[in-house]
Amino acid sequence: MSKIKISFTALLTLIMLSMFAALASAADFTPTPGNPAPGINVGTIDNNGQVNQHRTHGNFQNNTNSCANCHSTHNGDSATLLKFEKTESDLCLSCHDGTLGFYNVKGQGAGAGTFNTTHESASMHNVGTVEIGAAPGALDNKSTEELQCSSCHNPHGSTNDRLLNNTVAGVSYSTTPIKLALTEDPDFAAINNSSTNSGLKIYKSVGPKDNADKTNYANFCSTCHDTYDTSSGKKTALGHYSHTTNSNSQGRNCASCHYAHGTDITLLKDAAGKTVADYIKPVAEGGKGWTEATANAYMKDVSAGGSHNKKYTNMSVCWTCHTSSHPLDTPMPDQVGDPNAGTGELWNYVWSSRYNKNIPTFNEKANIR
Amino acid sequence: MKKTTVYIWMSTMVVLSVALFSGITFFDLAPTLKPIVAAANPAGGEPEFRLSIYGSFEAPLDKPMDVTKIGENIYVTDTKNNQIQVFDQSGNTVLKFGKEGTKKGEFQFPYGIAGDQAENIYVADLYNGNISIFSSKGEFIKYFPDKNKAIQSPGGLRIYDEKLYVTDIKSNKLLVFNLEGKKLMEIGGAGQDEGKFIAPNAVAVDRDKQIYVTDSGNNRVQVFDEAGKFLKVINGSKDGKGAPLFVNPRGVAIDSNGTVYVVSNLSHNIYAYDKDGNEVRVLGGMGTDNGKLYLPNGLYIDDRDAIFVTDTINQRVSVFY
Repeated sequence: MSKIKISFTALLTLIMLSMFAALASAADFTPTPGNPAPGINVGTIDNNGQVNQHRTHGNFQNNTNSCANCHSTHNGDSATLLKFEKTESDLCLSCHDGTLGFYNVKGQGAGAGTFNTTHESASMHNVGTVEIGAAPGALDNKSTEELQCSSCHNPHGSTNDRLLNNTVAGVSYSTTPIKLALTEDPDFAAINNSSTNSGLKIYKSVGPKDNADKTNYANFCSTCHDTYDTSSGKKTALGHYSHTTNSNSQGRNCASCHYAHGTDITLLKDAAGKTVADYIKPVAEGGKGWTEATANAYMKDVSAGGSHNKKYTNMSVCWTCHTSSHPLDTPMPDQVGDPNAGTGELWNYVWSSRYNKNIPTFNEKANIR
Repeated sequence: MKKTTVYIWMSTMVVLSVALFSGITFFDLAPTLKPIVAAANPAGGEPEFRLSIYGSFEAPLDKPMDVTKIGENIYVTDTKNNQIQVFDQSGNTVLKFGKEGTKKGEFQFPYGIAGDQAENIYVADLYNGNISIFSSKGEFIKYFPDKNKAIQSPGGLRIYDEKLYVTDIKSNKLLVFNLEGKKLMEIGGAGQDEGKFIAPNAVAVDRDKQIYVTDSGNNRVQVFDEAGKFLKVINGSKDGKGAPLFVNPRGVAIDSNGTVYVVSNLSHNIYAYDKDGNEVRVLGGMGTDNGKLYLPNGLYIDDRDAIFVTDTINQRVSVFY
């Protein structure tokens, strides 16, 4: 009798075991690009309508421990469970210092300028050292939080290009994704042309892409620099007049004149669009053959407030546009070539439908977006 | 025993000892003999945290990126300070050299560091795109003679058997030169395939002359034979075929048993694998305490199996053995 009891118990155990096994195998998880881990869903299409290939930020690995790089489950320094807030930019710079090759924010070739502080006339969004509320032009922005990489970028992923935040300093400026004018970076052609990189592409940016992106981008900057958000002929909230910053017309957008990250003497241009590198290049190679010291002294930003993330030195950007738009009637610089024939090295006569005549125009004006 | 016999034996011993040590000195055999002595007298046991080197109070390390031992001194690329700091084995500052700039003896991003048999110091600069050679006193001698400008953005740098191994981060290659600057071998190019790299950051060679390259952008270490033929992947998964365990791997080094150590920068660990690829230990873990790491980067194992790791945020070099 007891033998039968034991065999029935054994049978029951086996049945139970197989049921659990069946359940367990049914719950087996197969990761897909859109659902890399249980409970984590990632958009499969990016904001350009392409297959989402942003694998570094956002698509965390199934065995990730990366959350713990920035967050502490029980011992955070902030309500978002951040730990070691002070070292945030160091964490980002673990890769973005050039040791991963691309997207080096300390380099001199990025569309956002540079975070390299070692050169003359440098100015930048000083992450880790200033309060967000200290932004020039801030009135409504009273944020006492420290400016960090994550003030503008979302390390977890974003529908905006370059992982730009949708909400900055507590202000949600737009629901439409910001697209930037991205082109494949020729410096990384080997990566971009590789067919085995699951689509990794390294892009260069020259600023916001289309008209809507330009105004959106201005709104993005204005979350902190709120009174600088001005249209033509309007007074700011502080009672001043300001150059237009929020239009999609050429030269009337924050990014027309300023870098997002920062600037220095190697990036600054003069009204003709020339850089220090152009001036020190030998005459035989189309440069001026100046010494580096002379070129630096020429390009140095001497304005009282500093170089303020500008793309052009001092106020030279004004003159790049205002020979032909609200012209200043000042003599144009000497140059090689014939401006009437369109061969002027620095400027040429261009027909203005607004003023109904030929007007001297810097060639560089075409590079101002 | 006769008195004279004793004297003869004694003087023979003195003569032989003098001959041995002058032989070692004149024929420069010390570097060859040290590993043999070390192997005959292994430290044994699990490596544990022993000490940290921070630099002096006035001149602390800032973002140390790589470390090496040349002779009996420890050399650290003090990257954010654009200089090299030299320490003795108890961590006292011996020497500092280099400053910010693009000229001779100057740095913009000093990274990989290695020494040759004459104890000259080779420093790779990622931004300046060159390798500078200094005397052991820190005097600039010359740039590494890379006549065909094969080196653009040097990262990891090691010298084994009079051969210089350097990873080029932007061109995604490992380059091997003799010390006269003649290129002997090139592995890589951009990609995810076997033998291709994305941003290789470190290199090491084991006693069987196998070459280990940290392929940071692909979260793996690739192993090649002496001739540059691909052998296998180490990424923390079984046989290196599964999803990688490493997050932004950096320094790589091999101890005298053939155990491979890999720094996983963003998970703040050093993973160690035996010759069969089994994980034998994990050192570090995120934190600021002794033995913990915070964004570790460079790794060096000396001939006595002491493990040196640069700990960038904690601004120190930690030593395990």
